Amino acid sequence: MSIIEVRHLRKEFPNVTPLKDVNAYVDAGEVISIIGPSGTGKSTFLRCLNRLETPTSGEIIVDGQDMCDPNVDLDAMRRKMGMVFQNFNLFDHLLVAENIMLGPTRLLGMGTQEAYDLSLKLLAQVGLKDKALNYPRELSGGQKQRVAIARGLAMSPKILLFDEPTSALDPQMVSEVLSVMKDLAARGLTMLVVTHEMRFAREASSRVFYMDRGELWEAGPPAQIFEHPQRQETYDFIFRVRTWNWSIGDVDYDFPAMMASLEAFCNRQLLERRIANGCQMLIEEVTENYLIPTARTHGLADPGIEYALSVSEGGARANLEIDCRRFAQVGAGLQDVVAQEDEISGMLVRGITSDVSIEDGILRCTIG
Amino acid sequence: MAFASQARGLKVTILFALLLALLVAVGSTGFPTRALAESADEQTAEGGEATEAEQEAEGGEPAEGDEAATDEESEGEPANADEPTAGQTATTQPTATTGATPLEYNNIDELRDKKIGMLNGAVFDQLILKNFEGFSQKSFKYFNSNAEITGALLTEKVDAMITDLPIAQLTVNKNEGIGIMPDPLMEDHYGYVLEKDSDLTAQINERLAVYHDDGTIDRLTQKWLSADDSAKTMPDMDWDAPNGTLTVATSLDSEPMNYAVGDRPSGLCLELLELIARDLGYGIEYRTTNAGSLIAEVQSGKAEIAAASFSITDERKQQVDMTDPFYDGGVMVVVRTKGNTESDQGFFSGLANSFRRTFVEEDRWQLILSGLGVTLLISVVSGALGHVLGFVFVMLRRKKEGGLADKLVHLLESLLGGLPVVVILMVFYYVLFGSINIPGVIVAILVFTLLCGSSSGSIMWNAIRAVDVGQTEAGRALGFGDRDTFTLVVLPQAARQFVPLLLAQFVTLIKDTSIVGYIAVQDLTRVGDLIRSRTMEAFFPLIAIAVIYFAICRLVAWLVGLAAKRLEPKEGPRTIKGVEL
Repeated sequence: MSIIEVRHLRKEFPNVTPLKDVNAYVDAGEVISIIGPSGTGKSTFLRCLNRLETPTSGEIIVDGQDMCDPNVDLDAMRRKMGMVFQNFNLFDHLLVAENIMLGPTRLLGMGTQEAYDLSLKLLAQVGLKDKALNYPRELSGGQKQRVAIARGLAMSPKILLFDEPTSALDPQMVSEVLSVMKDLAARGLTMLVVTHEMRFAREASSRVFYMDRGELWEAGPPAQIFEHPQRQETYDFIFRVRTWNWSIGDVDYDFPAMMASLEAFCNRQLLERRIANGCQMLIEEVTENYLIPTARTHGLADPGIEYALSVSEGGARANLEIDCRRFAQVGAGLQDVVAQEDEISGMLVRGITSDVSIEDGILRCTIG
Repeated sequence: MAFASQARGLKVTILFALLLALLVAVGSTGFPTRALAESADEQTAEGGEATEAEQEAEGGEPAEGDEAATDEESEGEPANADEPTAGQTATTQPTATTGATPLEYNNIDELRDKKIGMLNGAVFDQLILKNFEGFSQKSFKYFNSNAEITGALLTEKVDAMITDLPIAQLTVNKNEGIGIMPDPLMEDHYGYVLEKDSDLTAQINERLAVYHDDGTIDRLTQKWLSADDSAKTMPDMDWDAPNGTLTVATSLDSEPMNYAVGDRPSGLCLELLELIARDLGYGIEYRTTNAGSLIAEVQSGKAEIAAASFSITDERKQQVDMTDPFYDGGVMVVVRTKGNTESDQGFFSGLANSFRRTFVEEDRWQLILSGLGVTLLISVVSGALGHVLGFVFVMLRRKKEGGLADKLVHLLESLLGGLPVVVILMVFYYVLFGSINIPGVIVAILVFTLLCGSSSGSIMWNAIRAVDVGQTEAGRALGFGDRDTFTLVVLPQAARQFVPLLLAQFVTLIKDTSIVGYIAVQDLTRVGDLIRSRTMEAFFPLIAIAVIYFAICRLVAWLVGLAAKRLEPKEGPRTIKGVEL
């Protein structure tokens, strides 16, 4: 039986209607990632589930209880579902351990010592046992979010709701939080996660909800959503094509600036690390070891090289185009790059990419 | 660390207190010090002593034939600028006591473009406007006590003081550098003030007639206007009062008519009234207030009789009943004498005299202590109740933002915030509670509780609203109810912000209560006024009161600092209550 069932959920604010008509179910033990463009009701949906927002109409059944029933014991229901916020919302006046102990001691009647021991156990799970006696303000963002997760777990909830848990974090802190969440997912806790982390959605969730413009457009396993989306809206979101463009108009070009721009693009597009590294290595090798030396030998002051790198499939694939048509004018062939088997560049290129084609002075290849 | 900064706070406090003490010294010995001499006799007796003290203070300028002083010559650098001063002091001293010094003005007509000081509520301004050409309302400045007018006259804030004969004489006797114009402006007759159409008026008139005829009034007049202070005592109030008790409003600032000896209301006007009350079978209970409020006391029914130097006028008779006269005097003009700007008393002996008069004589320190007690009582009680009330306001507003309670609190806040405190105080005392006999202290506590409640309420409210809404959401999402979320999560965080502010507000409250004298409450400020009116000294008591206020406020501010420090998270090993770490 489903632990959560949502029927015809509608939420109106005075100026905007973030949820028009949402129907969904979640089975016990499922890990649901809720993805979609910003500002399309994902967070509102999550906040309706534990009634931080009151729906305008519709039904939300959690664990057999109608959350919209005026007689429902909301406080008791909320104890069954923890929530992790984008901005952590740790209680700043309490120590880390006290943050975790507050619920169990005050709401579950747990003894202080027992609650403290529990808090240490949970902190150990999220890797922060040594921070029990710190104040939240003494922690980094990633550490705060892990404490918030431990605080949610302390109430032994059936369901844990995550409202964009990594959006307020620096990139290097995202992974520490995601790994804790993956760990939880593997242990069979029912989780609903509003996220922009496509990799997490793809790797850790049992099903993915695609939400857009106040509606749930498509729900299905990650393989379906990320590889064979059924709805056009989902397809457009998943396969949105993004391109990085760069041109070199001088043999004395700014190499560090180009690589920094490329790296920033890869990060922004959530390109998988393997693919991102491949793209960077390929571009660096071809440019530094072949194109620029060749241009110098042939006295080509303005080589006019144009790069275009496009990303698709949520960061699992990248297509690279290098336009070197000006080299033909001075009689330098591009074929040498891949043809010479004993050259390091050639080997590298073939190792990273399998389908290299050269046509009319334009090199095309796919990475990933 | 913490100790060091506390000690520094204390040091700063002491430094400020010393600075203020210096101010007192300068204030008491600078140009206005002519106010210091109490009587001619005393002055003569202290003359020699004062000169010596002054010389010491000025670095040892030798007096003629004084061999002891010449020894000090080598130590002190004789300042040339001081030379004429010392000489002048010596020469002016004998003339200062003669009373024959010429006046700055000798005739009322010379005062046309000058400022004239008079008591608030007196009718001298009408008298002058009616009878003399060339004066306008702008010629007058109004004061709450004779001591204030005297001070203003001495510091040239006004050029003349208009007052009644007995007060004029006493004032001139007790202050140097002023004298009375020879001709009275007019004759004047004093009567008691009663509520319009009071039954008592005729009975009092009857007794007054008897006392006129048998010479009692003459005897009393001689007693209270004489120079001999030792005879000026009031009989005990031990007679039977079968007809009940009369509440008599009076201001204790008009020696010799109505003033205080110790805390016993005394004077010609009051002794005579007590005789009459005894004859009529009434007891007497005094209410003291500002001279300007006396008639309002009678009109609002807070007192049956107002006893002070009230001139009998037709205008007054339309508002209230006035008895037949109990004293026939005149309206006199007091002005400065010419020249004579130098003090004839030494720095330290003058200060010591002022100190003795302000604190020691007639056990006035007890009066000051009781005033301080009243100030602290009002501040502490209304501070405590106010914070409780403020919290109640917060809880009401929390129930429903924009709801009825919220709107009411808002209305109260804007009402209290939009009125001067003294006006609120007087409205409460004379209008809202006008017909109920309720002690002024209670009304003061009520008003300051409301004021404190409204401001502490909004301080708390703002601090609570400043706590991130995410904190509330996190509490609710954990499963805490509305109240638990508030008390466990929001309030502790808001308290860190508002508690130091509330404590600091207490200092403001202590200062704000200084206006309760307007509703006849004898707090520290009011006591200072009373002492000023008794000693006829314009400055020393004022500055003494200032020093006491300052000391109290600094002390409280220091305590507030300590309390605020305690609220901050402690350094050192952290513990959780009830947990073995």
